[in-house]
Amino acid sequence: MLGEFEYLLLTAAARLGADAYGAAMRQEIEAATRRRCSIGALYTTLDRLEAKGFVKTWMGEPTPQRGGRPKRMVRVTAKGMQAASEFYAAVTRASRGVAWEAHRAGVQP
Amino acid sequence: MNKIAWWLVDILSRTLDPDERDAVRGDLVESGESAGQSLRGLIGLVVRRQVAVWNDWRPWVAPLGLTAPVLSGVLGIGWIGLQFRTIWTYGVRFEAGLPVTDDIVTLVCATLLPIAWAWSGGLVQGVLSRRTAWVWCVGALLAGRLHATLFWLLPGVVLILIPFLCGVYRGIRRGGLGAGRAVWLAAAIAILTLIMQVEDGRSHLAFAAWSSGGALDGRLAWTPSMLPFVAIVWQFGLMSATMRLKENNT
Repeated sequence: MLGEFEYLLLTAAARLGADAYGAAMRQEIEAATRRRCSIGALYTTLDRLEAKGFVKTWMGEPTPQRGGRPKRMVRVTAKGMQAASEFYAAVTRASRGVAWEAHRAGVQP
Repeated sequence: MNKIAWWLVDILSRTLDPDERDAVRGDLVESGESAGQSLRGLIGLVVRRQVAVWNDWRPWVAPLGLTAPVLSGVLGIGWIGLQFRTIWTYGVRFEAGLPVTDDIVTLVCATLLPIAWAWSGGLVQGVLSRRTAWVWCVGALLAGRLHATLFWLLPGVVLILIPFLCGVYRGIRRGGLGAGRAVWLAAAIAILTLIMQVEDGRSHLAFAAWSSGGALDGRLAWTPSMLPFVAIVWQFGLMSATMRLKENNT
């Protein structure tokens, strides 16, 4: 079972696709959660996900806007997609009928 | 203030692996964070990385490699420190009634043995757990500081600290030793241990002879023990472990 932050990271990487790397994923997570995402949490979680085989990372090409430093690119593996999908399904099932789920359904357009 | 913060960011980021350092520094530049925010983020990452490495078995096993160097180092430093102090105080060397050749042999062994052990202990540390090596280096420095009296400081630094740090550096840069070199090192350590044992026995015998008014009759007072064999097995075991890790890492 994934942790909450691991799920957020997988979702960000999946949404960004081929453009998924550290800084972009941080922006994506901060926009989604409206909370600050620390670089320490991001990189250590990324390592954990890679060790579990949920993502694959590699060093990209250096770019001038990053001071000539390369990006650590991220791709979600099939196993990672499966894990994220199971997590989402579990959270959705667990949330059925609870007050905040009903409230959210009410405010949906 | 900003300059200091960026300088600290630069220093701290050097503790990360080169690839990660580049990726993180690049992310910080790209996201346009202030020096303070960057420093906070980086401290968080470095602390997490350090905590993570201690979850492994290697940092806890690696200090075993230091047990022998510390023990033999204490013996070597003790003997050399005693000689320093005696020469400084009385102007003559400390002698137990043995010929000067015995003292020269003991001096050579008491010098080489801690160096060989400390270097191998450092190597094991560097190979097994390079990220935690600094903790044991600081520990060695602090331990040295505690025993830092005039006559023990210099031998301690020369015989233990410097070889240990050289071993760590070698372990981090080039990994474990090859089988041939490991055998030579283990054999050299066992031989030095054996000679030290013989000289220690002769020294005790000479002292006993002097106390009873007699003279040393050239006998060897060596009581055969397992110590040299323990030394060779210990040393070769450590080197084998580092070699195996080196193979796994390549």
